[in-house]
Amino acid sequence: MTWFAIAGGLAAWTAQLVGSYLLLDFGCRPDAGTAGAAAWPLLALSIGCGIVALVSAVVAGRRAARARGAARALFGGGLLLDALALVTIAFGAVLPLTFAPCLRA
Amino acid sequence: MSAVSKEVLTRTWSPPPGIIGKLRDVNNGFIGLVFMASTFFFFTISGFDSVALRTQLAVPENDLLSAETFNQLFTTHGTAMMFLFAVPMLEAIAIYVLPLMLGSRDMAFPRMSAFTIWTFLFGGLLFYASTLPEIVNLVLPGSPLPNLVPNAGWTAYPPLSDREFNPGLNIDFYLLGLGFAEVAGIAAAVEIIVSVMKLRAPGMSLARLPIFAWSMLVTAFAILIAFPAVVVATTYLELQRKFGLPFFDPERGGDPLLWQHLFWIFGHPEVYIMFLPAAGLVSMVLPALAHRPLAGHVFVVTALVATAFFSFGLWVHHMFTAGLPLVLIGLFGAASMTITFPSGVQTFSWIATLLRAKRISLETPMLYVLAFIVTFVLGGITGVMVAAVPFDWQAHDTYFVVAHFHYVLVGGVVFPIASGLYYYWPKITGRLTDERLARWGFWLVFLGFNLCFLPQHAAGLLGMPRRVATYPEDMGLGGYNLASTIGAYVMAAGFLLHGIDLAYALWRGRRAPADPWNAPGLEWVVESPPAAYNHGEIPLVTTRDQRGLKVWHPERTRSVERGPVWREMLVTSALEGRPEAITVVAGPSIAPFSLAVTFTVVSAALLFEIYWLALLTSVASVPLLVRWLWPSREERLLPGVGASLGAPDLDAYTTGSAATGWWAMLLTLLSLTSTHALALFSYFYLAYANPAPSPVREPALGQAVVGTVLLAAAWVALRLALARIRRDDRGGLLAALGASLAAGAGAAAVLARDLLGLGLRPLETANEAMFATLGWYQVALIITGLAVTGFVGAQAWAGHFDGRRHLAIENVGLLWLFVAGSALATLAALYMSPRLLQ
Repeated sequence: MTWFAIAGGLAAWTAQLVGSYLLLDFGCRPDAGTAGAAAWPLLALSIGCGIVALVSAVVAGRRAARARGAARALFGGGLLLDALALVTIAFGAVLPLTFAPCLRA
Repeated sequence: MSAVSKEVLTRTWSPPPGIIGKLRDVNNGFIGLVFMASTFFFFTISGFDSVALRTQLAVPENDLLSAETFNQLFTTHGTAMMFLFAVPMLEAIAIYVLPLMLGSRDMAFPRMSAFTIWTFLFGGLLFYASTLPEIVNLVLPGSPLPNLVPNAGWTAYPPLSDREFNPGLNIDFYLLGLGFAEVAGIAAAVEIIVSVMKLRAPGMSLARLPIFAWSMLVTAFAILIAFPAVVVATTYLELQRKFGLPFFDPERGGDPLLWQHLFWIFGHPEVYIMFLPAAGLVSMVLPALAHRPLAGHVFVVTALVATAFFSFGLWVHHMFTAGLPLVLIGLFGAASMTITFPSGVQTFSWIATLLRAKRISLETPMLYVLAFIVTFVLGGITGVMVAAVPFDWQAHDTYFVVAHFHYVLVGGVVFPIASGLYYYWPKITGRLTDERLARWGFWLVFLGFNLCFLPQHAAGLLGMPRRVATYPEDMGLGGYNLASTIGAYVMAAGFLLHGIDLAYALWRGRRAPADPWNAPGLEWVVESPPAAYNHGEIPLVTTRDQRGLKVWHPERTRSVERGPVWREMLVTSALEGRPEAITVVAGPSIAPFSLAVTFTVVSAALLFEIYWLALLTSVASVPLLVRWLWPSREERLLPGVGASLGAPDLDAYTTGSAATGWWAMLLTLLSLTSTHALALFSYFYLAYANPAPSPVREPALGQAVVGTVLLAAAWVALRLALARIRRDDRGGLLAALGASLAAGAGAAAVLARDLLGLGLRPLETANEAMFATLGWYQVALIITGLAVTGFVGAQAWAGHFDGRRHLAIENVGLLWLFVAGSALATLAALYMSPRLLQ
């Protein structure tokens, strides 16, 4: 749980990025038009990853409150990273709702 | 420590005399030095390349170099700087410094270190051998020798790198060079992780681990996961070039973008694989010369881990102009900007340490640290600019990007390397450098660098494209380019001065004390240069920034004067640094050097299609490998082990997580898992890009199931073998190993038979090429498992194992677990997914 508290948010965010890549690249076939079938799976992925990051943040926060010294700073850092991951995951969740997921440059 | 003890340890750890003795030497001190010298040699050649490139671009419409020669020069420059200098130099520093820093006597697998360095050196020389015909052609114009120099840029995108547009051996040399560098890199990464996790001094918990060791630990994990991507990519490209398998040929269902994905899945983490150890070096030098502990140590460690995670989610930002969905590039654009957070944490930590400094010693290592901070921040800011997708579309493939990545890579990697070299040079050589000469060198490098690359931002924004041999006069870019070229010469002069300074110090420098910087850390408590055994007495670590030597059980180490002494080291627990076992490492051997030679000969023979020579050399290397791995009777029994450590009560025959070999196997399998995942990704990528049904007979699901069940049986038999030997049942062990071999061989036969019967046409469609490659790769993995099991079986037959000594059995069990798991994944992909995709 220690490592989950520190790196859980980051792992969730990495999973969201790589998962989004797979969904978009495989979901946006050349004949799929601009909407494709990717929007809802993308949103579901983002929500799932967001929940993992949130749980990680809660664990980090609780551990930080109980710990002292270097451990407290470590969990505090983990909490900050989890918060950062949550913000970027939220950004990733909003994007496919704003643009047609398969729109290409 | 008494003189007698020192003498005994020196006798135990010293390499054999003479030149042959050097080739047999496996000590980290010698290996690290050869590694550093090799990378410095390649850096010098690559530096000449860059000066030639800048000379060509000094004035518009210059015809000093032909366009082809220019292409070759920027290809060798980029390839060598990335693969033959930056990462290897940092690994070389790590191999030299880590045992000193961690309080151990060597790295975990000295023969592996030796194999790594010789492989790297021969691979680099083979890569540069491609330039020999061109040099002959320059000296003797009109000579019939072919042009072999790689010429498709360090990224070698197909179709430019395909045989159709590049029919010579040029790209094959590039692919070969990369292959060598990757093998060496992965081997060194395994070595580094095991050493950092298991060979620390007692009391050195992870919280007390020096930042450089942390950075190397994180980097080595990134190497294990990232480098396989380029191994997979280069294998596909070589198969396409040599045998015509169409992985990247869109006319036959391939996709050139697959190369870009694989290359950048490796290539982006590669940037951080270079930067993180460099940042680790800065975090060592800066507090030492600011005479204050590093501010926010825990945050810096967290930032290192975070950066490594982030680095795997950014590869798409190299492909913003490749026509990917906008949402995707939006996600990766945001991710690219977010990486500034952990980098910012480190930067603010360094600045805070400087602000709290009692006194800043502005010597050359610190000057380079300050130059690093300024330059890297500038490079980071332009990185945020190109992470903004609309800006990237404008700046892509211009000199703005060239300027950006040189600010990041020279400022962020070369400057810290220079700082680290000047910092550790007195320790490595026992000699002090000439500070005045070093400062001259620094200022020439720093000013020359900025004169070279600052104008390139403007030139790029004004439209100067990358990778062009010349440009028209009316573009108005002559002034920027001339300034750049002058800067390149000034920088080269600075590096030349550094070279002279370091060489002079080695020859005539003043003697260095053990700790010339008054710095904390275990590397400074031993003499300069360190003895072959690095730490005679085992240090005890009680604080993070410990100064001076505290000895772990000083009364016990005196027993080194009695009884036989082994090349032994203390194994400590991964988290707390608690002593838990002893590891005895192998001594000098010609096998690593000889195997590196045979590896090179096999590769060169394959390159020039002399297949009989490749086969002959491969067969000849088998006895060498056996010689390397087969322990002598004494090495198995280890009488008196632990005496030189003052730890006769600790066990030298550990298994599981207390054994360094177990960790090495696990990490190797991690890297192989990454390779497998990327190969499967490639399969699905192409299967989806070209979803037309395959004309191949539908794969027989039943045979795949039989193959998988047999592999699972092989693994179960290995588990049984382990259970038997734990009870000292040697007969049961042999029977179980035999059963495992039979089940594995059966699985290989079933799969091979099915693959041969499918009527695959790998030259006609990319899907079938991918199917065949994955299928035969799986068969090759099973055969590897069989070979290893056979070797261990021979050891079992010879009576090498008993109830205490059976680590090899445990490791083969792990290997078969991987083989069975990977087969399950492969067969599910190959045999099930066609049905699902339809």
